[in-house]
Amino acid sequence: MKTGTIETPRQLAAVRSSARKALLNGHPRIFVGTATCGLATGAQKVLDALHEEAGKASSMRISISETGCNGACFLEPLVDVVLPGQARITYGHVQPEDASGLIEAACAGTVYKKRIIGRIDKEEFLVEGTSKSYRRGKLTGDVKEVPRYAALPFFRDQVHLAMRNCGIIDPTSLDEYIAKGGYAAAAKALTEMTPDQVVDEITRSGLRGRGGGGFPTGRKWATCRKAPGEPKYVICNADEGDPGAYMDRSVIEGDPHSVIEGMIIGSYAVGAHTGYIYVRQEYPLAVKRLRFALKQAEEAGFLGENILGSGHSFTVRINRGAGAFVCGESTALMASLEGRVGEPRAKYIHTVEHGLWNKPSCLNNVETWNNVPVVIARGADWYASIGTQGSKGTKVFSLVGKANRVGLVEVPMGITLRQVVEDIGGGVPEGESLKAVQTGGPSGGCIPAELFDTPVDYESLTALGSMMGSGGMIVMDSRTCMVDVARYFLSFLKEESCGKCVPCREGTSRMLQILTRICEGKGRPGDVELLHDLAQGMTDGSLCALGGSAANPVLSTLKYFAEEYRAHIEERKCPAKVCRALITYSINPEVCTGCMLCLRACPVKAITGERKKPHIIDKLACTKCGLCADTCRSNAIEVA
Amino acid sequence: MPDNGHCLDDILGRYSPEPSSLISVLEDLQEELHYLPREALERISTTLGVPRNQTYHVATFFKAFSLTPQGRHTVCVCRGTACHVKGVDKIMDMLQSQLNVTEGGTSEDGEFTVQSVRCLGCCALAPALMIDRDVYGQVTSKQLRDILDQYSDENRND
Amino acid sequence: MNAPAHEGKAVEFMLDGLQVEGRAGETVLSVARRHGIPIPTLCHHEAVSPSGACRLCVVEVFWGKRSKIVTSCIYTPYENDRVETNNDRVRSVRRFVLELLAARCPSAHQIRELALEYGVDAPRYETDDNGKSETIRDPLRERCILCGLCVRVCDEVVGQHAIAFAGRGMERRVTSPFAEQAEECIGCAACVFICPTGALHFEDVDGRRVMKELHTTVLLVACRDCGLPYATEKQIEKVKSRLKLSDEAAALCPSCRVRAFGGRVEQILAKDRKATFPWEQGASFTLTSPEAAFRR
Repeated sequence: MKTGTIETPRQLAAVRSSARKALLNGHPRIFVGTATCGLATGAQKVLDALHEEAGKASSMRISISETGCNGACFLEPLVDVVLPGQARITYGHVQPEDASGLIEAACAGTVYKKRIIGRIDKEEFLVEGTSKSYRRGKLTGDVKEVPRYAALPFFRDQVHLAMRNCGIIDPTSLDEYIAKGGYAAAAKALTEMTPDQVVDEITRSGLRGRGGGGFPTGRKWATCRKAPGEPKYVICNADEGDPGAYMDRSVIEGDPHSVIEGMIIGSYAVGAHTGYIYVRQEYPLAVKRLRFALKQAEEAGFLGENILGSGHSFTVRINRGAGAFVCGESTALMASLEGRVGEPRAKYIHTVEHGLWNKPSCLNNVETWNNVPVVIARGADWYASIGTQGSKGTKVFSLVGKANRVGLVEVPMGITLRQVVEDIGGGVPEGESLKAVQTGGPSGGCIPAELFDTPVDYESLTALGSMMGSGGMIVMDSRTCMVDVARYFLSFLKEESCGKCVPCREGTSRMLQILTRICEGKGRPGDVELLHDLAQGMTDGSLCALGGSAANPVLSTLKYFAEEYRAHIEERKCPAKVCRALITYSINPEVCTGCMLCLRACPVKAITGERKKPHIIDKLACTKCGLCADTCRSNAIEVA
Repeated sequence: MPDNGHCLDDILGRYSPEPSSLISVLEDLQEELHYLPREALERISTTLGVPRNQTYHVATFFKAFSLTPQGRHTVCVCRGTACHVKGVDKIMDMLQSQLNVTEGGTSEDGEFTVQSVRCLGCCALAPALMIDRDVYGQVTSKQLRDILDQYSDENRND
Repeated sequence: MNAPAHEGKAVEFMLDGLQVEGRAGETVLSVARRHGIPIPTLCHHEAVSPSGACRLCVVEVFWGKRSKIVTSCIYTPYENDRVETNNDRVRSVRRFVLELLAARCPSAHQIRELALEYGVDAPRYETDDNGKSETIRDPLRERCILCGLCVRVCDEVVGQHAIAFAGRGMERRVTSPFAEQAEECIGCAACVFICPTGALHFEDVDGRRVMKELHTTVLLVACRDCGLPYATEKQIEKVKSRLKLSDEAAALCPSCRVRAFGGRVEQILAKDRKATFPWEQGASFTLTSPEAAFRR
């Protein structure tokens, strides 16, 4: 179904109504999660197999669509089946072999019995605050047996606002976006509210920047609105440079129109007519989805002149990044849009007044823009009822690392770290113990497990020496070396420093030098003091936040894991057995079966031995890469 | 090379001839030719009205650009935090040893260039790597040979 | 909210306890200099735009209960700001910067002298390997502090864009575009003169000006009267067009020019040019030779 141009809110309502009927029609629907993670785990083969099987079962009309990621990445490939009159059932770890069974069950209106994860009973229309049950009549026995999402520990405490459509709709279908209430908020803002009223609504909601800064969004919009100068710009920062964070990628791949709609509302509020979305170059699928969505929005009339008859015009362009973390910094991003290198400039000159080409520019993160339609549609009071006093709404986190259940989780602000890591994430694997969680990317810090009862909100995390950041939450267990983590972040920052200012360019390099020496067992007395001096100088003296917060990983690990530093420097030991220079690999002759597998796996031929005789590792040749331990089936390799 | 000139014409035609188009033009060219030839950079400077010193700085500042020819396939190993914590170093070691290259280098047969990227955004599938535009998650050292083989001559669909 | 001086308003603020006025658009550095308060700088020069890269000119600004460290070369004060140019925190940042630069450029004696003033005699960082990439051959690494004055003077004053920054982070370096002969270079050596650490050099040898670190050579032209190779070919072309010199005047070195024309401006300038200079429109003007105009 192709939507023509929508010129008024009334036409939009009509399209919504018919699109909604199509959404809830009586045919079985299958959704395959084909965002980047899904594709990386083999979702394409699953999709192809489903198409093939559906082709064979030509008697019944089954629609097969692609969808984004609902956050349960540890279960990919994910497939949802909407059984008409019953429920929406989610399957995980789906393989191509499951395709025939899934199609058969869908045609019969029954539940495919393998790979079951959970069920959703209603189609939610979050933007309106309503829902429609799938059920017509009684639920069958097998559907009742499928646990509800609300009973699943991974989903139970989550509240999907930003992820409202991710993994639910087909991101390439404008009709489905509209059916879910899409563009209704834009219609309301542009035709029923004044720009000042829009700014006021966003301000009262308490929405704060989701990119990491946490700056009150309404205040930014208000300043930009008042700033003299034409033309004005709205910019979406989709650079998502924090390693370990991929929330924005998923929102764009799963629900690109939500970002566009947010920017339309924002442009109206501040008085801009041109928007830019700056997407990191490492996200080719996100760029593709966004380009497609922009084209759809233009054809439907949501972008261009006289949007929905409001008189407001707005167009959006996509620019890609080119592999520079520093371009996530707003002034560097704007420099890059201007065709210059991504060198930040002083923040004393505010970008809301003098930004892109020195004009007033309103830059916000993907998740911030995505929240805007929800705030406008449901109202500031409703939005402010979620979260804490200072941190309203929800936040999407990428819960990754050593957690048992990894993926994207969206939770109300104020939930504790423990709830996120242990309840939702399921803690760490058997045999290991939970050690810390790293938040805020390279500008953040590590929080030890003892402090996990801290609520997740902007101020609480900052008070602990970390920060909210863009949402990366990396779980670390007893086999993570915290000194190595600090070294890792500094090596990242050193490479990404633009090099303009002395404190950051030289400071990150020197910090890395010292940390590398410590990890190699060459730490010296005075190293820790020197690290503190470097931290102070970089924090006070750097030009931008890259250098200004570069010390956080080091400072937070020094604060909470001082013992590990001491062991590395004074004893030349790595308690977590990670730092290669400080560990030795050996083969336990009593356990070794002499199978020769490790011998063959070793890339430097450091293992010798004969069949059925215990093997030996040459400690001088060994590079501690650990491949032998991966290969050994008898647990004979020991690390000390 | 006549081919490259034609390709550059196409690319320059996609964007307005002004300095702000510089990075987009360079990106399209890098994607097409797997590097930025010197003559192309000169032409781009002139056409967009960007002084050569700025073009040169931009071309050497961003990791996405290479001034020297790269392999037919680019293997990007993710160095994100989750991947680091999940042992991607091992994968990088194995890759370098199998292809006989160091990071940033190209294999002798010109097939693969090995680089690291600072985050592919597949953190739940750590450790991850991307070859051209295909992403592989939860990569183990054992799988590497098979993954690389998919890109070798015999298996390529021409 | 108070508006800063860069919004076209004059403001009153405190500078080291002194009540002062910041004119519209004036930076703290400029106000401080007007009042004889010394603030050290490295990457700043009145001929070019400010950069804020070296961080040496930092000062601490207090307002209400808050404060922040800013670079005085860029920061324009708000009404009622209280600025301190030399307190402990400020000096600590300067010492930090100088210690890092002294370790980076052990041959730059200007840096070592300044570092000594701030209590740094032996940097605590290794001076043999400071993390620079081994694959980048950088002839300037012993003295270049990457202040960018050379790049800015060539971009903004001379207008030739012959010097480039390249790379990022510790691979950042100054070079000619593509690290080869820069055709844009006119050999005026403004970059050499403006460099605070003497990292750039030029040498006149065999009728050529060699800009060694910039891989560039430009032909020199000899004076028609005395034979001294006094300027490069491209430099003369540029000056001729910029100042509209007559061919006659351009063929002579400065001393011979003075002898030939004795300061009579009208004869030095080309006859067919339009009247555009301030003194022609009534303002007073002191004529300096074109070469001197490029000297610091």
